[in-house]
Amino acid sequence: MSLGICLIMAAGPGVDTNVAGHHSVHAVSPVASIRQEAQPLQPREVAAFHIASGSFRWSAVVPMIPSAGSIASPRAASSTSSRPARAAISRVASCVATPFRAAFHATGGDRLIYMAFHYIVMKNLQVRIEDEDIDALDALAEDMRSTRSEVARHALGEGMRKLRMEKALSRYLNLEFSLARAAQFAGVTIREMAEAASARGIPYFRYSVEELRRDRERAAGWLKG
Amino acid sequence: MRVWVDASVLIGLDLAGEVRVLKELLGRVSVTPEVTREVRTGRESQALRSAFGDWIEIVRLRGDRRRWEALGLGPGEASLFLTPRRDRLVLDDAPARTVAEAEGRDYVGLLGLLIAGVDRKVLAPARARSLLRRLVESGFRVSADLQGEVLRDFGEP
Repeated sequence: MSLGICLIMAAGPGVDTNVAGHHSVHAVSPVASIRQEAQPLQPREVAAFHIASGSFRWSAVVPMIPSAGSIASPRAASSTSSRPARAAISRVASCVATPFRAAFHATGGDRLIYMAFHYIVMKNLQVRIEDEDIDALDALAEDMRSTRSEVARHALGEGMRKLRMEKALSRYLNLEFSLARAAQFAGVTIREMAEAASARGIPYFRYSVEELRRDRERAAGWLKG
Repeated sequence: MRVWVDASVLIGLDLAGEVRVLKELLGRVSVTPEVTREVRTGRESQALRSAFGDWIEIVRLRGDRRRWEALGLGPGEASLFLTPRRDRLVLDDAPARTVAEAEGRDYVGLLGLLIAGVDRKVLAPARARSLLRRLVESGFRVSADLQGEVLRDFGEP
């Protein structure tokens, strides 16, 4: 029986190794995920899991193939020149090695795993804010048992979503966007966008009575039978 | 010659529980994969789900739709302008209608289609009124002047 773990850093489509954005991340226990995905132990199966680690967010895809040798210890085979990225890969490698070993021993362990990490390095943003906002952030962080940074990131994300929705509604109202384009811009479904527009009293059907009459005449020739 | 339907039309009718009215009025209709993606979000009704591959056919088209997206259209609407020019379009969104007009396309909106259905007695006026009410309730509001005109055409006193 052999067990090897090879960590191969790979930037996924549209993911720049130094740019934040793109992937949604779920904090899922790698052990649970790997156990779940590894049970069938079919060659070339793919397990996927996500890790939030410090200032890095990870999305990993793990194709499993029958062992063709073994790699004794985790290592980071990185194609990036980014030192923080390499350091982070090593950190994650250390974190996940033991659970992976346990998981693969539990499931037979006769597999070589290639882990392709899609990672996002978060950038630093300096923003001046009022003292009372800092106090409010700290109070929330304490209440949520989180850090000031996490709460600030969460608040920024929520605020961005609201701002995008406002902008989308404004452009929809001004006929710059169709409903579908507004939904795409706001990151919601057409159904949700219709509800949001309706709540603001924006009509969906808003062409002239003359156009309606023209439609009626034209449609008469379209009806089946 | 095909009749192509926009995502908002299908979503609105589905929310009103009346997606089948399209089949009753037009028979078979076509959608693009882009429209399908906008409609099939997992929240659509079973009636709509089972219509795909039955009386709603999904037809893949070739071409670059970005030109239309730059005019404020969503991917689904933009894809409708890759259809053969002689084909018909059902769309209601004002920016999409503007493009259809500029492109010299043969298009109608859902309301005109429903009124024509009532005129031709394919659709009962009471059902049309109920459909309109449910459309509005589910987020697809009608401007005040249009609503008055449509309700008159649906036989409301």
